[in-house]
Amino acid sequence: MQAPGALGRRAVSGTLRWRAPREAANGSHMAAAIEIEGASKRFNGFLAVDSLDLAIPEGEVYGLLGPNGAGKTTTIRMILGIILPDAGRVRILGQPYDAEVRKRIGYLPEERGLYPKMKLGDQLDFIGGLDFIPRAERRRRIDEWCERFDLTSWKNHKVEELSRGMQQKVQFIATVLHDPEVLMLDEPFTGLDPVNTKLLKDIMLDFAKRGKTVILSTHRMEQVEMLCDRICLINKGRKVVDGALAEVKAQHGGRTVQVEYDGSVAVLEGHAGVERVDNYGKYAEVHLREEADTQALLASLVREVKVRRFEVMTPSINDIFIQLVGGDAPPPEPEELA
Amino acid sequence: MIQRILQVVWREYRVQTRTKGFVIGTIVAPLFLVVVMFLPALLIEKGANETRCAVLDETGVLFDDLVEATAGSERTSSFTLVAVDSEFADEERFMGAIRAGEYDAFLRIPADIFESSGATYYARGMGVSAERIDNVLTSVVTQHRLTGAGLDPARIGPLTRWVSVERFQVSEKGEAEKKSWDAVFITAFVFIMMLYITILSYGGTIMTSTIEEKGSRVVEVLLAKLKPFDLLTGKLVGTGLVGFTQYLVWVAVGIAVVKIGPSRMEFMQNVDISGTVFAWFLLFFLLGYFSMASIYAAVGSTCNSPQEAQQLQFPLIMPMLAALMLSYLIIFHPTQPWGVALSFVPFLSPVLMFVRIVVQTPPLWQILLAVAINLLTIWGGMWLASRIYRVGILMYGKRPSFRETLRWVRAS
Repeated sequence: MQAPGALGRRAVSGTLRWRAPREAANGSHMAAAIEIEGASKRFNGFLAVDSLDLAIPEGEVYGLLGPNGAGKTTTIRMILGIILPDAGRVRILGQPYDAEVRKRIGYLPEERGLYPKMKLGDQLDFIGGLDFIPRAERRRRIDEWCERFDLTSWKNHKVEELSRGMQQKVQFIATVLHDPEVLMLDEPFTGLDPVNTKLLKDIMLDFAKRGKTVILSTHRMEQVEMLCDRICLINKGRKVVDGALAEVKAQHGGRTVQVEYDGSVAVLEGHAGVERVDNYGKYAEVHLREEADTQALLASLVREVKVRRFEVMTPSINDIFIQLVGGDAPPPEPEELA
Repeated sequence: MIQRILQVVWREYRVQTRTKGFVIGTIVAPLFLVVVMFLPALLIEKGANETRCAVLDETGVLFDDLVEATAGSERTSSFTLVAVDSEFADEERFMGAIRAGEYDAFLRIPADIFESSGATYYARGMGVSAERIDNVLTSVVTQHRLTGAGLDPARIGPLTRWVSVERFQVSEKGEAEKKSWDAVFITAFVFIMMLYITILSYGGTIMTSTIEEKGSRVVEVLLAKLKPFDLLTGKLVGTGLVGFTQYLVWVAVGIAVVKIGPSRMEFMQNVDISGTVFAWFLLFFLLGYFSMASIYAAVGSTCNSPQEAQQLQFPLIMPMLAALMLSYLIIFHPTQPWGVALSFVPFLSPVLMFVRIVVQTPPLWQILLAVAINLLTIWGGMWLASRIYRVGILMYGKRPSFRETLRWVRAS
């Protein structure tokens, strides 16, 4: 991808952008890196993914969220072609899954996927070889990445001798060694210290800036807030919500208002849009019904009391996550789906 | 696609040929065997086997002939015979002499030997040489009996000469090759054991490394890059090449031993390592290995730990064990129709057809038919195994039942 690197990535994804002819051909404004249409997968009678539709645009950081056992791993495996959907279809970079397109994806699994008894350097060399990187070139890249992650002195050590965090860094190098167009990262920050977490974040954002697609599956909501342009929340194999981060927040936010005031707020209790009031005397948290109009509420308040502060709260992704799937214990299921 | 398979082949080869197990099995073990075989041979040649044998000849006429006959035969030349007088008839006396090391052995020839045919031999160690004294004594006694019966001593030699039967094995091309039963038996035995041990151990290697890849979750990374069938093929070919390498090293050691080994190594002289036999051997090793290996991989993919796999070892060994047992029957009855039939049965065929080649030289079309059946078995095994493998390798937790496994085969 040749997206102009000088521009901010958010600006780029929304506006005019130089793109490969593929986009012109299918006529859509935003080419999808991954398109899933009506995909279902069943294991021994258990429906892990239930007619899922998903479009992940190119050049963004996309958060794939969901509670344990929601079908995330199955979805990821279908995207990677590790398993095939029973029904529906998956398209990657505009084409069905094949040997060619495999080269353009990088996958970082949730658990370590390295040979414990192989030396770090040999291991990366083997994985690079699987992706058709010529020998000299892959040596150069391995050296470069090891330098960047401060692993150079460990290159001749077996993976089992490395700490968990170091192994995670090796795993990440294995994922990006062939400079893929789509990065599929499942809990990439596990075991990393703050310095390396920041390094990894910067690299991810840099990938997105260069027009590549980063799919992030994680339980760490603060990282989703910081990194993702767009999210999809799935539960019990179905999509609960998806869209740009700001849109999702807007859809599910704005229903709590904090008010600081002098006087009595009895008026709130009777108001049509109000569901419940947590009154603390000088301060109240007002939970509104879905259809409530915050402006009308403010207007009626101003008539009765002296409003010192009135704030429509933006919920965190964490709140939305709990709101949408909370209290909804995931069903028991075979371990492989977790 | 091929390039990815080759990467897997290369990795398997590199990793496995660098393990301690491989170095020990390939270089240290044969050297150890050679030393074990050489040492006694060298010791025998140094003449450490001298036997001083006291002979009480109660007939009074046999001793001189016996000394002559013993010295005349290469097989009994290590005997030094010493005539002793009748005080040795006392058990305590000769036992004491042997215990004290005065003599190594005591041979008592009773006066009535010509009628009773019974002598007694006492010694500390009952080596092969004791048996040979028997032969020498028999021929000396026979000569005396015949002279006693009035035969001209000059005619006895020619009249009682042993008949030797030279054995020839007729090959498919109608050529006759001189072969001894010992050679056939020992060759078959050595090669069968090698087939049995290597096929099972390389099958085990496949199973262990499959479980290791599953356990360390490397397989998820690999399957994102190549198809289960390709991964499986790469692993099987890589490990097969390791086995091939090991055989080449063994052959080099074997040839060296035969070439420089001392002539007394009768065991090695009897092993028939002709080029043709060895070529067939390698072919049937590869066929046997590939038909078992895919099964091992499939079983490995359903297990979570080597311990779990251990429990499944026995059913996996069964076909090879059956082949091992049946091969003895074929060695002794090579032309039986059931032996011929069994040599075409999948999984038994690699061992049994090879045994037939060693002992009997079956028609070429039968060998080729067996090869074809084995190739079909391998293809079928790979097909079946890759279907189980692709599901099993991603399935953690409880090991699936046999019936569940069958469902995977049908479903995927």
